[in-house]
Amino acid sequence: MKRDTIRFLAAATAGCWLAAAAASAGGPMGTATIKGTVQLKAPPAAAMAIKMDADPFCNQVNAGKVVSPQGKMVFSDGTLPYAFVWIKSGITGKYDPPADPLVINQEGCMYKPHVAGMVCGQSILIKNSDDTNHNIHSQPKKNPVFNFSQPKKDMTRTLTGNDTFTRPEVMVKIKCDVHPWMSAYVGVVEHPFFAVSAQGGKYEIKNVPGGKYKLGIWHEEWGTLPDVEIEVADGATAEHVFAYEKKTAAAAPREVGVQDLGR
Amino acid sequence: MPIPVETFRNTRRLNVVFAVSSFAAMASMLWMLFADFQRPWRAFQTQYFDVEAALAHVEWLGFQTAESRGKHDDLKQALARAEKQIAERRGEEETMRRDAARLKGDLQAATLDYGNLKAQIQVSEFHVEENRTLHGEDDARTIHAQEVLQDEQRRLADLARRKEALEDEERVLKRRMKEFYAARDDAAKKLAAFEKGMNDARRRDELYGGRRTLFGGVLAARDAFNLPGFDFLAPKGTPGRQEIRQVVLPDIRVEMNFLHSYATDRCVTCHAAIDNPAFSRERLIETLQTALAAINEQRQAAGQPLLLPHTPTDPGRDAASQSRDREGADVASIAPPVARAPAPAQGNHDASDADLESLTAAVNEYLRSTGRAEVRYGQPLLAHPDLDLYLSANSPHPMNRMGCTVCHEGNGQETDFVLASHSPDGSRQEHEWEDKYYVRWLGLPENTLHTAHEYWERPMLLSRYTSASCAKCHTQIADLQLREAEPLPSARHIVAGRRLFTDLGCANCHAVEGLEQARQVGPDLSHVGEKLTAGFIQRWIEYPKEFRPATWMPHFFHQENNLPSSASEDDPDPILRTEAEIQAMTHYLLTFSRPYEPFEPPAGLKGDPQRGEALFTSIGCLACHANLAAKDPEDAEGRSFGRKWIVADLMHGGMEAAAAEARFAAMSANERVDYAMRRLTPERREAAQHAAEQERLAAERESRDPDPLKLYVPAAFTRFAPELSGVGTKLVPDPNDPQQPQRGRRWLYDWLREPRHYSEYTRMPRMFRDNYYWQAAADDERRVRNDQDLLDVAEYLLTLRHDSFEPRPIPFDERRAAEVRRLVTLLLVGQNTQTVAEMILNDEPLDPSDAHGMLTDRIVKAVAPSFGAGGAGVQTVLERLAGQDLAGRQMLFLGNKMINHYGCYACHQIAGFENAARPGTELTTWGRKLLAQLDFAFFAPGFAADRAAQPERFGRLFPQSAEYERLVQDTGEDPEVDVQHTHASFAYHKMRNPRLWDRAKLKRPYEKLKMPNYFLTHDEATSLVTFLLSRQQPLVSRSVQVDYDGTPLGKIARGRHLAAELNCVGCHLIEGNPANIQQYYWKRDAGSGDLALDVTNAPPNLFGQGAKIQYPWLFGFLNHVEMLRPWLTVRMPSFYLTHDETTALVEYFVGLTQAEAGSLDARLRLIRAHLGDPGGGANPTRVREEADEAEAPAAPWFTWPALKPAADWLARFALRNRLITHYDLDTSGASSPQDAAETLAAGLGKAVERASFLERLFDITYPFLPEARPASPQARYEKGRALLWELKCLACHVAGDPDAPGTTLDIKAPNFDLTHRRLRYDWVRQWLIDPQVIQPGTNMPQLFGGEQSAFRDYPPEAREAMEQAYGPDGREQIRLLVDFLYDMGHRNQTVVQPAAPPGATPSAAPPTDEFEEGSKKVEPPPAAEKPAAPPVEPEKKTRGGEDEFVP
Repeated sequence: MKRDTIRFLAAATAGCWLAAAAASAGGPMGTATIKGTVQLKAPPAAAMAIKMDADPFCNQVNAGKVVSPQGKMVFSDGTLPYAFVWIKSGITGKYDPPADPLVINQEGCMYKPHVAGMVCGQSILIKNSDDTNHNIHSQPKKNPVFNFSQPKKDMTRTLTGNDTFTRPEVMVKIKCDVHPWMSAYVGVVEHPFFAVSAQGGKYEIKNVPGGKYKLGIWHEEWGTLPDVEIEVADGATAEHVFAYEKKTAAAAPREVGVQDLGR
Repeated sequence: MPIPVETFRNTRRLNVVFAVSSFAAMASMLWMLFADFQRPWRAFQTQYFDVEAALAHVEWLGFQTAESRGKHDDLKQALARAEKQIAERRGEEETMRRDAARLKGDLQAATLDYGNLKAQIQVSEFHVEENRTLHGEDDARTIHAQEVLQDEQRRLADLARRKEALEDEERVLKRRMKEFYAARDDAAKKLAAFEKGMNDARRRDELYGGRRTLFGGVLAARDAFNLPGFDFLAPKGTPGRQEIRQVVLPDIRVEMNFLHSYATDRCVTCHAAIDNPAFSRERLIETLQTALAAINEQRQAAGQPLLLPHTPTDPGRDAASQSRDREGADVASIAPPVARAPAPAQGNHDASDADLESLTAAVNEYLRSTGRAEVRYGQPLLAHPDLDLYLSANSPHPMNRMGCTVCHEGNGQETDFVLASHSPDGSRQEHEWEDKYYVRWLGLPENTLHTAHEYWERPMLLSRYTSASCAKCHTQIADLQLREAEPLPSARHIVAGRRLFTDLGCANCHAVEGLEQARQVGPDLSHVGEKLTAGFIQRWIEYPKEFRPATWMPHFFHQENNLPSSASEDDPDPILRTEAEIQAMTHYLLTFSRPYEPFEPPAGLKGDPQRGEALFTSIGCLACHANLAAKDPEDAEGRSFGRKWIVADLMHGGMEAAAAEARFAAMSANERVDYAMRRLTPERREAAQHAAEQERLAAERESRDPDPLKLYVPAAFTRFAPELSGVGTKLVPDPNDPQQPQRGRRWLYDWLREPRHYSEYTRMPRMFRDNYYWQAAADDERRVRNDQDLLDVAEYLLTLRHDSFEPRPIPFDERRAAEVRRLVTLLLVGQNTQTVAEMILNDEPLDPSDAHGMLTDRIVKAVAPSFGAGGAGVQTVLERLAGQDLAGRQMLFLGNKMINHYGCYACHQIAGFENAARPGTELTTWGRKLLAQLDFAFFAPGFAADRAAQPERFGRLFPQSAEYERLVQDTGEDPEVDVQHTHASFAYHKMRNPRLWDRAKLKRPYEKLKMPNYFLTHDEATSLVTFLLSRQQPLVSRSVQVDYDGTPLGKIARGRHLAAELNCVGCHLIEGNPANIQQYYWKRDAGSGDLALDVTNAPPNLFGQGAKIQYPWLFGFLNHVEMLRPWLTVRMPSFYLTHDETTALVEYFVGLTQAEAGSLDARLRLIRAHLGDPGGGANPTRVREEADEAEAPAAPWFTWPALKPAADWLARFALRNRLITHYDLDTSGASSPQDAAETLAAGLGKAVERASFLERLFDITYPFLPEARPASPQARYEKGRALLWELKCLACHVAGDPDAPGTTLDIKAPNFDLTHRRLRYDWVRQWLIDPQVIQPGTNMPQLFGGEQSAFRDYPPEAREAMEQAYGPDGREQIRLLVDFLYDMGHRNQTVVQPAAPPGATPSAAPPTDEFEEGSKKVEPPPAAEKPAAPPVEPEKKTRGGEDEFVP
């Protein structure tokens, strides 16, 4: 009885929140494009093959392959996948989350995609395509923590409302505690202007309204780079090439330990 | 008879005499009246009423703002609207009223009918009985009567139903009516509350007499009834009436000339505002700000210049944001910025002081201009700084029960400043007070502070010592300790003092009631010869800090009364004496050192120091021992902890990186330890963590990067156990001596393996246990691995050298031998004649027929009992003496006497002193000692002039001499000495420099003061003094003392001491303590770059442990640890606990858990009642009404006065225990107050839900009932096992034998085998419901999402099939699973996950790759090592650990 009351209360507040979200108008979409590549100008980090012996399923399904951690992946032309590029400031309008959820699939004992972006409040669909047990453990700072398991193939869960990520946060890590090598990163942004670098280190942000922006970049292994000022007119395309030269200290560490005090 | 007209007196002259004397009498009476009237306290009260009058006016002004008027109008309009609405629905109202009237009639009739019939039934029942008795069961009359009765009973049931139906109808109607009128009632209440506040303010403004113009206008009423002789006009307690005020306290006693009487505190006569919250800093600022706004509004209207248009509160903020803030202020104030209530920071105080000053000045300018009294703020007109805890009626220490002097001491009956026994803090303040407070007649003071203190034995305590009085009622003290939930900064010193008193070993020398059982703090020296060399012992005794600056061992030598400067005729060469004494003591210790039976290191194994270092830094040694020389395993460059810590700290202090490195490199080993000890304190770390948290949040709010300087969190250096950076030099002073390393290695091997072999009472636990390796199959393999670990760590410790320390023995030459002879003679002559003394010295027998000399005899008598009863002991001692020459025996005699003299045996176990009495004074009632009994020596008041004349001799705390310089450097300061003639000052100076009272005295060597010097800091000394001052007769009645007997508080108080003593709190978070070892587990996350506590690998958090564990299991576990979490490298040690101690620990956990449940219940009950929870306990209507009184209807529940404190507390609780995050309560992004309120409502709603969950979990009864053993039938057992497989629990957990084929290769969770004996059944069920609430951040997934079905995310057909098999109800599934786990344990079974049926894996299509280059094809790897096992249950092998459970 008590629980129901409290749930009702929580649901009521959630309802308010949803109503408020629906009421706000979608921000302006434009016709400009920001694109470029992400390059690595440093020797790539040594990637050790992942040992999957502990789970026979993972071992078997990846039999015959060397699977290395996704974060350490570098293409042979020296470009980087899995870099998250987003417009950090300059966007003024308010943007509704798209109706389609962000899909995170667990396949072959890996999260697919490994790095993704989403708009605040967008729902997340988490799916297990493996015939083994995964748990999905989010480790956000500002957003809700969840940790549930999907022991069976084809299980799905859609996180909506207060269960999904509603506050901007770059990045939220999601990990699987059963398989320590499995991780995914989600960049939660207030607008849909973000991209993840793919084949050839290429990224492309479309439908940007013309204007002057600051572009941010994040990479699991190589860290962040200083924000880039970029200006693009409607209908035009602006390009920027990000180049990592060394591992950078992540911006704004949450607690400075004794080893971190450099000025 | 004619009236004689002639008299012998001259009437005229007499008339003059009469006239003069009557004038004189008149004058003296007036003077008397005046003198009696003119008391200093009247001035304070006048001042108080002036300020009250000013505040009343100022408050009334606050109601004059446009905003206030607008609010008033709004409220009125709201009421009018509501009434209009009701008028519009008149028809509906009429119907309801009619219905109500009808219902009332019907219900009355029905109730009457029901009552009548019930009475009738009783009659009928009687008839039945009567007929049955008279005519028998089968008689027609009986049958008839029964039929009648049955018929009536049927009718009664009908009537009851009808009545209930009517009652229900009435209830519904009543609710409808209430709802109908709700809006109006609500509005009326709000309006009434507002008007009440306004009218009160006006009434008070008028009452205190508006304008205060004594001659310029009307005499204010309060001036009239305060005139001498007229003060009877107003009754006592009239506002504005000057009078002696007092509280009479039946529970608090005072001692007056051997008579106990109840205390009467008149302190409130002058401290009139002490319990008036309006005089608190915060409230005052608030009131003045509102008033200023009103004043400025008026002035603006009148075209006058504004007064201070900006308050200096936050100069950066613009007016717009201020006005928005005010709107949302009540909402925002609920969200505490940090989990921990902010510590009272000095900085904040200063800021609000400045605020207050400028505000007061502005408002006073206005008050002056209108001829009113001004607002003044300062002593004695201050409210108590902590009214929540003290004085206010709802606080635990209400004024009318506790009074003032119970805590502050002093003479409560006096109303004169001096006679009340106020205590100045230092002589400067004393002189200030003399000028300010002495009541003087003709320039001479009536009373002086000195006389006041002379005749009142309990003068007021300085504020830093006030917590000494806590111990009067909180006799156990530990319950006052800072609990995270209820921080008690005011009790800091008494708690710390109590801890220090045992930790420093004070209790070893000085008997104090209740602390007789205190552990000896020094190491066991009865086998010291097996461990240390003479050179080391000598240098150590002489100057402990030279080897180990962080040691707690105090200094006996090189003190001011045994330095060369103290030489005198009786003590010609104190250094020579020191050396001779140290040599003698060392000789004694080594001669009578006993062998023990150590474990021998196994042959064939060799230690690896590098591996040893890795073990040392990972298995948990660092929880108790600091080691600045150890390499940080996390550091890529392999720097040592010391270097990292100190360099970072220097840089934080403003140095460049290179300079800091250079500075560190230039420091000696001792300087490094000294730096770490002084600067890197746990307190500083905690404060910095707090500051960093605030900075992060502030940065987040202001969207900027946090200032890295403010994020800096220093490391914490612990002094719990010895700092180990030079320990190799201690064990092996000379590495070139082939014997020493061998001996050191052997000693360390044994010590690490079984510490109690060497020392009977050490608190060092066993870190190396065979059963840590239960994964290794063979017993001898475990043994070998354990031995290897032991030897590695031992080898590592031996590599730690302290190179600047030279443990060379003091050479024993003729000079020192002569000194030994001199000292022995000195000790003997007191009790013997010169001749006999001589004979003893030369060890001659008194009677030539004696077997041995008198010196030998004395040594034998002293030592023999420790070496065995009767002849055996004597024999052993004689054997040891056999090799000694005369000088050696003289040294042994002197050594024995010196160990006795200095009291070494009190802290250390030493042969020959097993049953010696405590060397120090009894301190149980030290606080009650008469001041005259304390020997201030030359620091007594009488010598003030002499002291002033010789500042170089008496001016400093430590003697100013080159010899002492080295020691003073260690303390880091040499303050001026300012001895007051009080208990506190005496004790304080004794703590700082125990030999101070010997200054300038001529004494014989063994009459000198001998208390050793701990070189305590000011803070430590203050804490100890506080504890000493608390040692006195409580003088309070039993009824106000805290009840510890069987209460959670008692359990906590007892267990808390033990948990600190064993350093459980060094590893585990038990109640918000800063666990020392956790600092080594802050890891940087690769992705975000953030530092976070590595919860998975750090020692587990024990919050709520009382609800979790089974009592019998913990009994076994603490002394014989078994493997719980195989993935941890840090180890739980095994202790040496007695049955009593284990019980104390269990009860401690139970007490904490119960107390947590209690405080959660107290807060949540109110909140849930509001949220409409009928089970909440409190009367919801009442809470609502209370809350409604003052608040607008739209105000969210958590801002209501009745609920705000609970909501506030709950928010802190939830943040601290990570039930919610700061972002859940973050309103910085909110666009409107409504938006902010919604965010907070959601965040707090989550907090309420999760805290309620914990409350249910924590609400345990103790003693526990035996755990039920669920014995399921085989079918259910198998069903449970199938569910376990289905949910794939065994992907992380093991169930039974970890070596069984098919078990997971990567164990990430505890063995299920432990569940049935380790965990409480209820806890396991709750854990499955929501592990994230019980342990936020845990890797355990929420399988059931609360109590939902585990299959809710399955594809529909699969879900249906599963729910058919296991039931659709989550609760049922949980029960099935938990029952299985307990059953499995009791059946002693091993369960492994069955291999998937063939063909099911892998799914036909291999996984797609996101990118082409993502993976490369290679040869298939070899198959997994262990073959998948069939789903069978092998009978489990006998567990190795099982037999270890026998305590």
